[in-house]
Amino acid sequence: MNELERMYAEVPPPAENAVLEGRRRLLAAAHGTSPVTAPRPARRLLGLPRMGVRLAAVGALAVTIAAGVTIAQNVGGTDKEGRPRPVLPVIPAGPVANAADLLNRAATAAESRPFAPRPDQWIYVESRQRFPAIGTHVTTPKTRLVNFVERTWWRADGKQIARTQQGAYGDGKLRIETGNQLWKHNYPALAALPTDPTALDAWVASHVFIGGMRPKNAEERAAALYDQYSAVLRNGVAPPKTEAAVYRAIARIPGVTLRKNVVDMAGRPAIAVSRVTEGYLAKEILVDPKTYAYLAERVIVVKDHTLNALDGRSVDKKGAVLNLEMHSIPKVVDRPGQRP
Amino acid sequence: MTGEVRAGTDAAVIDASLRDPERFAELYDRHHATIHRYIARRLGRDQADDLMAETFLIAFAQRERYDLTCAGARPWLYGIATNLIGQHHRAENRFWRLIARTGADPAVESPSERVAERVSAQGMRRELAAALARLPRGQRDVLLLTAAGGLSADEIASALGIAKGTVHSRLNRARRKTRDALGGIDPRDVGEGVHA
Repeated sequence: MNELERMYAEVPPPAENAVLEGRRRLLAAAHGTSPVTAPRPARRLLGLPRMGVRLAAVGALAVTIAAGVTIAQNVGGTDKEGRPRPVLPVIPAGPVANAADLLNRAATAAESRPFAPRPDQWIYVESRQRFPAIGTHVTTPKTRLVNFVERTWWRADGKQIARTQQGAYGDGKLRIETGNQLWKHNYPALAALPTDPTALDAWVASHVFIGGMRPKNAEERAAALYDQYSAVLRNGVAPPKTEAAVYRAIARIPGVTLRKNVVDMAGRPAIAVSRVTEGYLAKEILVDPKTYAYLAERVIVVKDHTLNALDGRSVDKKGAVLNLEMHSIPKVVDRPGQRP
Repeated sequence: MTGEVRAGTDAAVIDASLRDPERFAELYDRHHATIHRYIARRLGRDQADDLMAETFLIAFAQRERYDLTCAGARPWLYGIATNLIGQHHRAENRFWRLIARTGADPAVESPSERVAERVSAQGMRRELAAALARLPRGQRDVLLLTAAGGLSADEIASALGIAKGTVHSRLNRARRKTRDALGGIDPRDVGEGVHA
């Protein structure tokens, strides 16, 4: 079964009341007691889902993730004059000048991360995501976000993936899937990619921009490259040299800007690069302002946007967060389900 | 005419409903789940409840025009549903972009009902949704009707009111464009019925 077929297979059957209502409307028409096209019930403008699992403790999350960062922070510290010392000797200590500077620091930081899984080992990545609940048609900076936690174990030979999903829309059970062949989801495939940014762009162009998905202009090409590289970073499975190459390739994409003083989903400071897409959304890549390790991806509305569709109007207000997704630093373990 | 319609077929039910309108409910009982799944896949489950009902109301109103030589009514119903989805193309584009952005899938999950599991690798679903959002509507219609299963190329052609050759060319283009999102595999195994 491929992803298209699986996409259908997963759709649950209609709820019994929906089936009965459809039948009732049809019979009413058959009896001639109602107009054939009955008026549709008014849709709730603001979806307020009644889901069992709600906001998980974000505080606990902050503690967990902060613990992982402490060591790196202690390495840096301040010198005798109280000036911040560089975390790693190769990364400059001064303020970040621009997007390319930040991405180069992130690349250098990635390269210094030790990482050498054996083919029979598993790469563990914990990802935490927050987004407006399904059915939300108006998003504002105050819109409540639902939590979703995904723990993924990628077998280093690329042959299996195991995962658990918790929070809104997840049940916490461990599932093992064989072979996800998408190049972004496969450690050996990512390890085999060119590490020169120009060559990497060329590789993506020849493997992704194919058969009519070729970008029509410079903007489409830039947006597509940015999306492709963001996805590699988001999955977290890339080997350090590939992660570094991806940062350096993003640095060459037009329209990528620096965003300082960003706060990640745990409320900790972050620094980001950003690219505006569709005229109203900024897609941001957040890194740690001290260690330059990858932190999160964020999609935020930068301009009020209204979409009128037949099922109603959906509104995104400036400042609304449409997705926040962070992952832990990948760790090597021996078994799926094992936590480092 | 009635004598030529084979007993028990969808055509026979539609024929009977011309005299006895309530008989049309049999067609609903046979096909509502398929039609619901198809609409839910393209617009989410909540939209699907309403549009499933509307598909059958439209079919009922047009039943006199049904070609009774077509024994199975599924292509006809798919065609009506596809037209309804077409009227909601903005909502559909928003739907695919939402999946691409977050991995949350309103076809599987619903705001009014908590579904316990998000089954598949969300990464792949996101890639595919991003590719589908970029497909022209005609190609998307053919690809998603093919993947829905159970329809031959002839039936898809009749559902959409296009030539069979157009079905093939649109499908080939759509497949090329979604190849990377499907894992770089040539998705020739998608809906082999079309080649039959």
